[in-house]
Amino acid sequence: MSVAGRIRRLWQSIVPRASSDIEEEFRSNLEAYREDLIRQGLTPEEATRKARIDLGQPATQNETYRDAIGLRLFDELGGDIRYGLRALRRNPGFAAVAVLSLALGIGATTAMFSLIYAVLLHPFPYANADRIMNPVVIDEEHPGEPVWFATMKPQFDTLSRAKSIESLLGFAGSNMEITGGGIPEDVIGAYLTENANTFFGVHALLGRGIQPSDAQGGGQPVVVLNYKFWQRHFHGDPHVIGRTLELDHVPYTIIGVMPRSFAFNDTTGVGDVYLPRSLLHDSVNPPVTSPYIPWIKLKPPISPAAADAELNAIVRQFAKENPNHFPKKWHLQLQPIIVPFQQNTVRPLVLLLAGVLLLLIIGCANCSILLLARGRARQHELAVRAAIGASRWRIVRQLLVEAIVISVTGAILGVAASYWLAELPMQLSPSSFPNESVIRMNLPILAFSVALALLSGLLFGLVPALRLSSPDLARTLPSRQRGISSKPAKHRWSALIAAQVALTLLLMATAGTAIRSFLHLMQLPLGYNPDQAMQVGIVMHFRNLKEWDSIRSRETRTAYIEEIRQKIAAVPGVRNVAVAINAAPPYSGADGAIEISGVPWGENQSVRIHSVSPDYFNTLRIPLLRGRI
Amino acid sequence: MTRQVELPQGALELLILKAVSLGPLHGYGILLRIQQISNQRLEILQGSFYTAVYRLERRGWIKGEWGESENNRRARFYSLTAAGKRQLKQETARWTDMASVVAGILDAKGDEI
Repeated sequence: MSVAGRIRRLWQSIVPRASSDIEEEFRSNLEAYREDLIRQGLTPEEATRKARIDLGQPATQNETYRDAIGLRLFDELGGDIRYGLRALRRNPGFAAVAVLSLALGIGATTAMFSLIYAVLLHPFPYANADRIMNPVVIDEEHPGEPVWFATMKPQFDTLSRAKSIESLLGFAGSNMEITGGGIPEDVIGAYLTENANTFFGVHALLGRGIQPSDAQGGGQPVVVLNYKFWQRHFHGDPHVIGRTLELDHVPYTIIGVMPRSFAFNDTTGVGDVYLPRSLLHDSVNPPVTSPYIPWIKLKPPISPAAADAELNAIVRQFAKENPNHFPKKWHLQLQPIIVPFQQNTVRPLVLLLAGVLLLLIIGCANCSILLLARGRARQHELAVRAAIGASRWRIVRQLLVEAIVISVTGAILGVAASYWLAELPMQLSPSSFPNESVIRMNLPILAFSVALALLSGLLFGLVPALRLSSPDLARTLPSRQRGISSKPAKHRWSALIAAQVALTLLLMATAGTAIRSFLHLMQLPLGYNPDQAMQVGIVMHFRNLKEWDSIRSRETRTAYIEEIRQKIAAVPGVRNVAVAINAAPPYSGADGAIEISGVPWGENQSVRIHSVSPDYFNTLRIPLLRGRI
Repeated sequence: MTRQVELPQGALELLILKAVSLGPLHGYGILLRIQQISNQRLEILQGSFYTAVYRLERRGWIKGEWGESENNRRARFYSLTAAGKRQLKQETARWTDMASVVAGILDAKGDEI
């Protein structure tokens, strides 16, 4: 049989026959029967009559056909759904309250789920992201503070030969400056080993990513742009490929733009531009050696624990060569790249999820009550249905379908709202989530919300459906109604209302506590006053040995910074300018150890040392406790 | 006159398959052929008969095609598919096995046990 024939057969076996086709066949059978009856001696009128009696109406034959091939359930469900929609239109007030109370719950829950999905379940765009590990050194004296682990070229090469590693990425961050234009602009450059494209498995949005051929000749002068940088600097120009970008006075050819979801990385700062690692040469004068920070992609069957054992042995060897770079007691640990975010976000997300689930349950209870209330008005209709032969199951099904029509309508509204809601936590607290997390509707989230809608429809529809369809004698024997059904019904009503009030109170109390602790956090003294203070980072670039020499000595560097300080101080509206080595608290200063003369050397004599200019305390309004500045 | 027989569950489907296996027939033709072979001993309700035909077609055991009837009228003719042939063979074997077992038991005499 030909392929087209097979497809036609398959199609015919799935799609039911058309109603007109069924009716035509039926008429031909009817006619054949009628002629047969006439042959047997009946008059034409009698034959027509008997044929009609034995075979039935041609118009109803399609229903018989659909029933025979098992489509009746779908037809009836379709009818119930249409009826449910009509009922909603007839009672706009009821519909609005029920749909809105569910839309809130379903929308919030879907938003939370899409957040959890984007942040915890599927945050990175990289291929096999679950096998990408970040090796950290754990100082056993301070196990809570893992240290990033960097290697030099020979160590990196040794590491890349480890059996448990499928592919190894080395990267280094660098502050660079866009030159050649009007105002110089600071950008973060991320140098990537040239296997980057295959390691990440992320297709470039425009052009291509960094590939092995870019390593030729000591590194090709090419650059791949980050999406946000492309938007900011080039205004999303689609013809940017092939143009030149000058960084630190060196021209680079733009070969690609990464998609929005690609925001490597969180270790050294998200790169604005990505460059081939081979361009970053070690130099003797000035003495600069650039490290390779490794990201490891494990071979599929190997667990992180098994890989830990192999890599620990290798890194122990490195530690013997450079004992100064490692703490006294340490071990290596492979952390899945999601771990730093999980530590920060799991608990709040779970709390939020519990909160919105509570909201959904309240919405469901609300709908149950509404349905029960409306059910009283519908008792007459249901009694008629039962009287003309609807089974209890049939009535329960109809009521459940109506409930699901409400919940699905609520879900559609809610999901539309969740699109906006899910972005909210990320906008409020952007640094808590991986940069790559992009919240968007996708199949798992849609499936989740559909399941949620069906489930909540069943949840709030079941009690009213069972209650309203109960085959008690109430409807047919009004005199016994009060005696039989009134009391239990009231009981159920008050239980539902009590549950709703209790849940609402619980939610309000939780929200109240959360808001109070948030306000408390806002008023926590920082030790300095950030009001009207601004922090500007100045990176010192040098393009050759001569420039390096010119800023090498302390005097020239101080003079340079002082010049900048004075120029900023001259800007109208600036009241105070202070200079510090890095940033404002709490991320400022460097760890150091001190020894106080006359006091024996102890364990806890480590401090954070800030190098600051005289005006620093005045500018940040840090009060002096004793003595002088 | 011979006695009328009522059909047990599932037998009507088997008879339709058998009737169609002898050559393509339209709906009413199948009914006539079954009655003819049974010497009019079967009374088949037409309502349930057509339902059975629909069901067999849906299962892919018989397939229908429009054609001309003996008196030049458009009619839908059914023929047996490959799957239908297998089903007929299988069901026939099952039916004869069951019938012989039941008949054997019913024939049993007291002194044979």
